[in-house]
Amino acid sequence: MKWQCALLQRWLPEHPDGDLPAWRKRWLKAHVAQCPACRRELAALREVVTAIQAAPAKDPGAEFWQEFSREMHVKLVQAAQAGPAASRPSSSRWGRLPYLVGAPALAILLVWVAVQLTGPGSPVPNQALLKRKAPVQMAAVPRRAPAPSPKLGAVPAGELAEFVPVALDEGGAMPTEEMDISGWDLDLELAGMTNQEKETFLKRVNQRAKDGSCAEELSLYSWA
Amino acid sequence: MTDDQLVARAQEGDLPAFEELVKKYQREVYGLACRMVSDAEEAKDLSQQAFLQAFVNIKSFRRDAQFRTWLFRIAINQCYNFLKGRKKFGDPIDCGELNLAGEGASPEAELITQDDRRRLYEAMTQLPTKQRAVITLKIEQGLSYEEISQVLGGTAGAARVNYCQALKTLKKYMKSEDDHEVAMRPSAAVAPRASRR
Repeated sequence: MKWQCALLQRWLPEHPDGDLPAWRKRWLKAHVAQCPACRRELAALREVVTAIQAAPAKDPGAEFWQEFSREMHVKLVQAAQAGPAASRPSSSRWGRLPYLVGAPALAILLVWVAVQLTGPGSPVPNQALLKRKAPVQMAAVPRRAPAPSPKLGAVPAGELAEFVPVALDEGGAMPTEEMDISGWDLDLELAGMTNQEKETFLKRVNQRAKDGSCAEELSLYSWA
Repeated sequence: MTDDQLVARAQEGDLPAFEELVKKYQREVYGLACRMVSDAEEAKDLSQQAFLQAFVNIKSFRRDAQFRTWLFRIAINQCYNFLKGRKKFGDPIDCGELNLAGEGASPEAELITQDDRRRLYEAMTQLPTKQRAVITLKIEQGLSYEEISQVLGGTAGAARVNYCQALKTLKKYMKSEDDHEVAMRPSAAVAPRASRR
């Protein structure tokens, strides 16, 4: 096949009365007149077109169309009755306006709140207040327990079970921290102790007083 | 009454005006669906569905194209959806489902004609869906490439390319069927047809 045939056979179905530019029609006509291969190709294509035109789908008959019209009428009436309800969502384009405006506004509001809370201008937590709260918490811990005693059996198991998680929750720093017992009400503490415990406790307090320190290092684990 | 007048009345909710449009185009839409899905019963359902869709959405028709083109587009989309749903792309059809038009000739001539048509329908089903649509719209409905591009999307040039490609594919398929038939059954009825090509 010549290059010209390959090029022009793309336009053969349009020959002679297709919607081609005039210059291409002239070129095609001249080429087909002198090229037997293109004439054969053109004849074969025309045969296909003729076959399609000669074989339309058979008209199914008057009865079919009567039934078709009847069914169609029923469907159209149903659609017309359901139409106002069905078309309401699509026709109420303005009804969606609040959502279309509200969604971006809500997104902007959320971003602004997030920036205010976490951004550089966000309120810094008062470190002094936090520091002041910490000793109160630490001082409160031994108050809930009986005074430190070598006798572990004096501490109820339930209370220990409460204390250990508290210490673990605070990052495990609790056992090594020093506890300030200067604020203790000594009479109150001694009231709940046996004589032996009182002696031991007072001995340890006196020992600390001699060392010049009012803080006693207590360890939850040492109790255990 | 023209299409524009009927469409304008239908857009105002005039049901008889739309039924007039249905009567005007039902044969064309049904023929198009028949060609596309190769099943007469399905074609009936699909064409009714296309008219129903057109009725429901008639208010969105802006009349910048012909109503007929818009209706064909709806029908073609219905056929595409059906074919996608059934995964029938390229499946061979049972040509017994189709009503083949007869010319009322002699029984022998009728048999040959029906055989030709069966081969044509089989060849049509071998085409990709878009090429089948282009062939049908161009040859049977007489649409221009510009109108075909409005129905199927794309450009007029693309429609022309699809049309040429479809014709060549049909030619090849029908020729190969002829050769196969001659080789398998060189009967007196087939020989004249084979020599003709």
